[in-house]
Amino acid sequence: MKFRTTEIATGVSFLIFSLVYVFYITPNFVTNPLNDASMQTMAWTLRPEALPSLNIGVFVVFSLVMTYQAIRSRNETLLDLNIRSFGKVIFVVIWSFIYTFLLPIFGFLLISPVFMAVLILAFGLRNWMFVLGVSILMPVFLDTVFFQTFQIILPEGALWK
Amino acid sequence: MEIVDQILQGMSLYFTMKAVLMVAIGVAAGILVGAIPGISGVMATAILVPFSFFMPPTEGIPFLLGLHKGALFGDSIPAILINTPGQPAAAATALDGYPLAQQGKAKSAIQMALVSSTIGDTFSDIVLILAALPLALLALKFGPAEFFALMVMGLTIIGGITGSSAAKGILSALIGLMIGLIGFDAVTGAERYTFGIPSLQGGIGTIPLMIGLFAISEVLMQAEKKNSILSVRPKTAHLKGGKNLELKELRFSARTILRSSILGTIIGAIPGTGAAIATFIGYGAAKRASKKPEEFGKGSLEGVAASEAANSAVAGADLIPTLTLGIPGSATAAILMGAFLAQGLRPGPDLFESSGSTMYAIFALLLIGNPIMMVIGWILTPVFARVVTIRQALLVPGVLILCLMGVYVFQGSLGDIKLALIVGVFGYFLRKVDIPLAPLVIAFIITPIAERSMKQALILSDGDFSVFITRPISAGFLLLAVAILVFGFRRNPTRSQNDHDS
Repeated sequence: MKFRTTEIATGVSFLIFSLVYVFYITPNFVTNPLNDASMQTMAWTLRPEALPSLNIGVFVVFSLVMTYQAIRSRNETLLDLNIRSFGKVIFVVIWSFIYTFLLPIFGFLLISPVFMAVLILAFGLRNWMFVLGVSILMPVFLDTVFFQTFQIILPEGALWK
Repeated sequence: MEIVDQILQGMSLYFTMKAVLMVAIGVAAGILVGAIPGISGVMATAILVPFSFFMPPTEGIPFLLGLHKGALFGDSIPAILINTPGQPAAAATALDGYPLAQQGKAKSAIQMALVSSTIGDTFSDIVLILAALPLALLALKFGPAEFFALMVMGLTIIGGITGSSAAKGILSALIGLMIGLIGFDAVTGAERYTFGIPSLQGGIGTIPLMIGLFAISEVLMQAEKKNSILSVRPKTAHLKGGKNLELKELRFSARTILRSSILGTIIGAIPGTGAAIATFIGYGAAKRASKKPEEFGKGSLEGVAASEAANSAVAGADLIPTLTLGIPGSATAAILMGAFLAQGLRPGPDLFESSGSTMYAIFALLLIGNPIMMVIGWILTPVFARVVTIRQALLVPGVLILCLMGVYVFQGSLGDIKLALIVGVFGYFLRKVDIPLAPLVIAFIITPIAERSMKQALILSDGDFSVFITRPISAGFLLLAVAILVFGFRRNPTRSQNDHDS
């Protein structure tokens, strides 16, 4: 019997998340500013946790439905992940976060060409004229458009202040 | 008389040379970004929306309307030239557009797409104008209970019909609701799911969510491709030297364009159905009614006309529920609604009362946007079409940096960039497990309005939930929601059976 494994894994993850949401997140991260006496007299349906609780209840039901449908189905797995391709995706995400952290230090105009050049190289282009040209021109173009048209200053970098 | 006053006031405020110019800039930007291979109209709208926040409403709203139109047509360019539709709706265009391009008729195929898009869009805009006021007046008679039930019904339609399964669509909407609940509760002032992070007190920002979900996740999907695909210049048909669309070719497709415009408008007015369904229904109907059905799929201008007219007719029609009920009809409409909210325009039944003049100006700008799109598209398409020849290894990083800066300029916050990246990764995984993104974003947008209506109804009934089923209209909406859900689940076993059979 073949399972739609991705959907089952997703359904189970959603159910685990629902448990965390109900038993940990909602009790700890919904803070009511009203005093206890006011809370006692307030109908449950009006409390701040009412809609989130209803929502997660329905979420559990549909997660179960999706998992059940996946178990009943004889289709092959849906997820098609190539390790090499997925590695590239992870690299893009990590590199983007690093860029975000470096942005306030070095400034947009200095770090963005580096960010772009690394990505272009990671995507397999080795024509240095294109790599350097686009990496430099694109940030300069964006900076000019934002500043000239909207008077918005992109991060300048603490290092140069 | 009041309506006449509002129309005149709207014209004086918005119907200026500057506003018309902003529509033109929006159309051009939408076509240009929409023409980038792999970028859908939704993504193009999400990327360019932040620019509108730095314009006064009299310029920002016209820009957004132009963008909405241009991005939809822009999708057809890579579909025709390199057989790479930016979204499922453009796939039908590629069926005939690409064979036409291979026969050296790329120019006339794109011009047919442009003319059909313009006619389809104009038709649906007229329907929007005629339907909006009566529908808004009807919706104004609803109390909070009816309004909440209407929102539940809208979400059920969107979740139940969008995507490969009803369960996934509904789950997507519920995730959107969950994200929309982050921040302060409007009734009690309680802080919900902020985890002590001050920037979350006002809720998750619309722009980081939209750009993360639609644009960054798409960038990650593109990054997955092999380097041999990303770094090579796409093989494309050239427009140079091709012949222009002839009047007799247009006349031959006139009935098809009209039929697809009607179908697209009807389907587009139902929240959640989207352009893809309208396009394929329009294409199928055109093939059945055609005098030359054997040409469909092999390079038929009529096929291009059918899909593009239906596709663009959805653009005006999905603004009907968006502007009159405050329920976005599609992901693009949800993005526009978010942008309208940022411009101080609150879509919903009372929009005619609160911003009547702006509404009439929007209608006028929507209509004037169509000939503008026709002119810009006709003259500049050869220029825009060059974008499809750019290597994706250059485009993807460029789009990513544009997305990140678009998020940054919204509030000048680096935190928003990080948030958009997190949402982007989340959106990437949702795409991988085939969970549609449109219900999520629509649910996110309407959560504050839905919760306010729910709480108002409950306050009036002393917290008694039965208020939603004892009032006939509200009960009717909820019953309809259940029926739609049953329909949504019934279509899945059939689909699965077909899958098995095949």
